[in-house]
Amino acid sequence: MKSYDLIVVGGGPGGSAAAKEAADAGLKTVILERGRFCGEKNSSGFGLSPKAARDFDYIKDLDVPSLWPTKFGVMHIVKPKPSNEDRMIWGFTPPRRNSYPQASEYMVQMMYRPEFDQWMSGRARKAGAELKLATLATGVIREGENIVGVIDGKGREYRAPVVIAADGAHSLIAQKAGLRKRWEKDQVTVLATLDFKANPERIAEYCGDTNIHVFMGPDRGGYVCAFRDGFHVGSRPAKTLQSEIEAGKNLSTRSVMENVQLDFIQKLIKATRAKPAEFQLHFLPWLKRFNERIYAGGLMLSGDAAGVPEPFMAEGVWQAMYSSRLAAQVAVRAHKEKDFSSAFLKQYMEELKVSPVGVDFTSGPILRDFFEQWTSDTFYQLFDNLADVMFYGMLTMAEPHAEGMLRVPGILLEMLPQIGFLSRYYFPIAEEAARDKVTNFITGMKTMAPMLQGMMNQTSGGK
Amino acid sequence: MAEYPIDKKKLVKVIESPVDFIKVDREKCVGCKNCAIICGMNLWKVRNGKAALDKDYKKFCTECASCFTVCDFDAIEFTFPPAGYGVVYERG
Repeated sequence: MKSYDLIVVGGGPGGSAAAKEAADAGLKTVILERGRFCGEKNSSGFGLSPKAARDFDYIKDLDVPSLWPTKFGVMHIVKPKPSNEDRMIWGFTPPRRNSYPQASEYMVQMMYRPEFDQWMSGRARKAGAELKLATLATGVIREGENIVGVIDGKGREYRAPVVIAADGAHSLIAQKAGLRKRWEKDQVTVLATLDFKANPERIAEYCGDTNIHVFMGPDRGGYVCAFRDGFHVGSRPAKTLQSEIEAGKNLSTRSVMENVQLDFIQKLIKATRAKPAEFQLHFLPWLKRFNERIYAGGLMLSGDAAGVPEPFMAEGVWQAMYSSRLAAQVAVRAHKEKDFSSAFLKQYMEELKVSPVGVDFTSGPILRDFFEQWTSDTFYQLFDNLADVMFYGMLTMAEPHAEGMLRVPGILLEMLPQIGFLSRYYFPIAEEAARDKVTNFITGMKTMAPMLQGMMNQTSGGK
Repeated sequence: MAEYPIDKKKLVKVIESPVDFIKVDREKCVGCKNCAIICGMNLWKVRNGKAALDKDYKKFCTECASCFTVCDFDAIEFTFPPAGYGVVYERG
């Protein structure tokens, strides 16, 4: 039997962020990882968002071979099936406006998960945490109300007054601790990705500075994210397992295979001499509401085990790092107070709920409904019309320019249903996110209205 | 042109587990097909009204746990392959 101050189950980015934080604070910490190397069981979705660099100082030192910060991305509006052609493409880039500098430098940092996860565990080890690979924690040790350690698949015992379970979506520790039996079908999603290995020089030549392609059509969607020596073809925006069951087929896997047939992807495969290398299934929680059942006596769940991926696009790596570090901070406090009870560890849940991770769930259901419309006909029509505003309207090269300009209001009128559709989703989200700000604004406007009216009457000649 | 349809089974690297890590309780199973619908590797079939796992599942399962999650009758037990076995993502 081995004794520690803190056991972290799972050597993903969350587990390592927790272990680094705890080890830096002087706790004797061990990470138990079931893979033979960190990241062996994990696949990336869409890269690491700039929030990680904002919140974790050491991310600025990130240096792994596949790392490719995204400066440019392309959105392909794809024609309805059976066509595989682009109807049009739109570019996107990090915003000029930002609330911190990294948000303008790149949109995400693209890299393979095994590389990132191992880099993160390196930071934890440097801070003094012990890393035990090929160690599958299968059970918990209880003393009274509290969990006081874990048991691995070979029956070895590891003891600590506090355990952080960052052991992924299918958390055995959460199950053994009785925090949940399983996720509901509408709380989880599975994303299929197909990895291609390609010639790095050809990737550099063909892709230039653009390493994200998003595909959106009335009846499908998906993405390509490029790494230095290959790329992932991803499935259409997530649906929950519930909707897959209702549809009677695994749409995610079908979607990724269909996406390979898109004209752009076929060209990319040819141009970069790409060969399919790995098929991946990425199972993750995708909750609409913040999950509060993430603590017990001597135990805190973090990352996917806690269900923290955000309710809109299901981003989860920064959320895992943030929640895990917070859990480690609470573990440090618990050691100071010598209190590892459920009542004490509840502060982890309460703090997470009001943190940037938790705040994303305030408008969770509305965000989810909006995101699920992404592959709808209405969205397709919206972009289709926008293209006509540009090239049948303002920038026409087929007719005299003045005529083109005159067509714009007509097209905009035709777009009213789509704008109505957008506002139906947008306003509730905006209102939820900024209830106070909106209320203040409206109160301000009400106060100012009589003054403004007075001024307008004067300028219009005092009618 | 890329191979199509792509053979998923050739594209997963799995170190075959020496022991079972998915078990079906035939008493509880009602043959609803949820597991067969959801498995991205097509490792489930329903035969004679009961779920049946491919005999080679330990060579292809990516350990996503979808089957366990969609079973409304608690008929599927899912753990993980022992440490050092199971799916290997080198380019995840």
